[in-house]
Amino acid sequence: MTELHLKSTKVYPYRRPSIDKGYANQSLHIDVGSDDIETRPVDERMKAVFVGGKGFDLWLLWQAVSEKTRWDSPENAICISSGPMGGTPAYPGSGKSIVTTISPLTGIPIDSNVGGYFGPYLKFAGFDALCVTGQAQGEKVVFIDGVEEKIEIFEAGGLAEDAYALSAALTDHFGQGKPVDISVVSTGAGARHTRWGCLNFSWYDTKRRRVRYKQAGRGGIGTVFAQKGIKALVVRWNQVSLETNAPADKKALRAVAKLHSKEIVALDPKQNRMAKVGTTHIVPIMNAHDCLPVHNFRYGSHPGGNNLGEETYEHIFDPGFDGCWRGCTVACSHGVRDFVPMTGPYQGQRVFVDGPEYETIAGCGSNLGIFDPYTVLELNFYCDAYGLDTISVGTGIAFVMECYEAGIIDSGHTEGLELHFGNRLAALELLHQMARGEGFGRIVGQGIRRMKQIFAERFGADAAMMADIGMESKGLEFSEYMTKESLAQQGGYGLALKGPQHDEAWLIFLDMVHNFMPTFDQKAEALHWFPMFRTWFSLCGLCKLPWNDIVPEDNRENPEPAKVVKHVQWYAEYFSAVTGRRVGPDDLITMSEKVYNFQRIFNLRMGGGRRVDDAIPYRAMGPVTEDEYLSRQERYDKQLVEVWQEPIDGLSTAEKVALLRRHREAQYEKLKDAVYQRRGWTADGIPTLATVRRLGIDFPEVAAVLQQHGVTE
Amino acid sequence: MVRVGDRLEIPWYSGMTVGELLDRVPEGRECAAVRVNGRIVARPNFHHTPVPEGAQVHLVPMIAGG
Ligand code: SF4
Repeated sequence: MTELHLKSTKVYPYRRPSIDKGYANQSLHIDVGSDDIETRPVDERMKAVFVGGKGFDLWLLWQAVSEKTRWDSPENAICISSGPMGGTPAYPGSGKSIVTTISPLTGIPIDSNVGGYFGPYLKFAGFDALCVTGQAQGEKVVFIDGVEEKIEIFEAGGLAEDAYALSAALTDHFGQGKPVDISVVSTGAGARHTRWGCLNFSWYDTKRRRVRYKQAGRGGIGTVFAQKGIKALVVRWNQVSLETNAPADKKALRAVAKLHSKEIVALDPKQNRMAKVGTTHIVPIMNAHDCLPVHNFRYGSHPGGNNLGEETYEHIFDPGFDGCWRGCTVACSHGVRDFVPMTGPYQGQRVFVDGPEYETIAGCGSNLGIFDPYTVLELNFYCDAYGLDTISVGTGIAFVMECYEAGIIDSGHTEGLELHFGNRLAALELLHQMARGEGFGRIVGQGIRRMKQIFAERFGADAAMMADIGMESKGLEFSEYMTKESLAQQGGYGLALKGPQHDEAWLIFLDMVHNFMPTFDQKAEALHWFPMFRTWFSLCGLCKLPWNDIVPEDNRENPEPAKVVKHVQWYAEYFSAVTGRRVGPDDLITMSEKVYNFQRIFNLRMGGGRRVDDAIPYRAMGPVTEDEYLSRQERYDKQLVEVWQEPIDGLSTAEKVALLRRHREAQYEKLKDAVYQRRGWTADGIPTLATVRRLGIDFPEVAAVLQQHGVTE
Repeated sequence: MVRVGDRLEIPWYSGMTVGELLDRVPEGRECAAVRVNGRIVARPNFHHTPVPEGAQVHLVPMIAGG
């Protein structure tokens, strides 16, 4: 057992309730400022309306904060919950935790769906959700021991800064010889100095005998964690079987789980091969379709792009089982053994890297003009160790590099860093600066929205240009897909509740390549159904990858292949078997609608949640510069002539850029109108009273927020 | 012969491209990517990627992502 300097400041014994049909029926509330610990019941109404996972988190967060709460207010909460199906070992992808807080980037709720064992263990230890508030004086470690039925808070001193060393030490210390019983949530030094802090959720890899990690990356949750003085949350639990989650109908659960699991084992090797290559297969496909972000989303492909795909990483990944929860036959969470960084505190040492996944490759690779797979690994490794979100880091540095190359900022501003696209060492140095809280890294780590302000105010930079090329919306950096040629994906990003993250609606291929939704109404319908169904996974403690990354062989024969209807039916059966609530596919959508609309109103309460907040930079819609236009001139000229019937003979490139922009911006506004209408929202993007009544979320406090914003019917 | 999926067999000819092969496969035209002997080929490259004789081809579902 590792000797650590932990001073116990509070011990809270409790009686662990029996799990009943996927629920522990209570939540745990910890104030790390006062060491107060409390359990609260989860009642039937809370389950009926909010289901679990993100739904529970948002409801607890809503109660913890007021409209005046800012990300660094003590009452801001970090809520973690799995969901009723979370912790089922037989059904693929059933071990997710969902985390929410008020984001330091956006000022509204952020949510992140993450693997690792924490959420399921938390539930089995007796709690459907954890809500942490307050602000500690020093640094605290919270230990939730489901085996001994006690919660203990420690003052921590002298613990490792980086997430890897810290989680390994805590797993060893609390595991009492059984490290697989432990899951740790932690962040790293980067979270203290930036708004891009992520959380690392651990799981113990018994075959490799090491602690592994998945990241709750988006929106700066790690920054809130660090600001609260939380060093780590640790949970201990020691038995997982199909019975542990006490499903209502074990036989039905076993049957449906077997169907899905067997199908994955049979078809994944013929389809995306995720058990071998994770999501790296997406890289060459995106590159070929002009959708891989290159040089801050200027272009969608690059000859070097294929260096970063599955053909490279398959040979670098350490072979073996890589499920981030037990029994996940997709097993896509790969890693690299014995990687030796060339910079930073681990320079020259052998380390294990968890990843990279597609988003990290595109963000920290092609978008920065870096096509060397080992530099991507190094950026991936240090982002995790420092507790930084690889997507915001990638998109943020890409913005800085374009500003540098365009002369918007210079080496005087960057304190000597020559931030050209492709400068691998400069990108790494910037990352180390973020972790140390030094130099230009301090400014960059504030995120694109604040960088734009700082560059304009302090450096006299061109604000209009930065508004066009700074790839953020609602304050959150874009994830890594090129949306210029997919209006539906522009909506998928711009209309996403938390900001431009693809987990809510990934429609780029359905729209651009398959042309499944040619009309505005069809796009609006897709921007209703897909975000709702994707939301549902986060209510239940599930991963969405098994839904549509491997599809039945007869899927194409279905009139709606994009929905993978057979799997939707299986998910309805799965939910019914665990909870005993008999539901069909349509009920899953209604469940999500309740939480989705609640979250939109939560945004409104916190000062967002209106039409203006769904704006996206023009770079996401079309070519900002003449150079971009000229690089795909044939495509753009053709559109102007054939789609918009514009006579373009004799027009300069600048005039054509402006003309295309007028049309594309108007289209995006039209899309917003269609989606708001489909969702039952006002033209200003606010759910109507009729919508919240239909969904049964017209609680007095919800109705009051609507009324304050002039919505009375 | 070229094998598509587990069941379908298509006669091979010299110079056959992925695009030409998929023209002979039901639903081949809706496909955005395939694996030819395990290697990914995406639609924009279908018409300039040759299919080797005896190849095993699988249609890759690209409705997922992220
Ligand atoms: S599909 Fe991948 S990310 Fe999802 S639960 Fe399984 S291993 Fe984890």
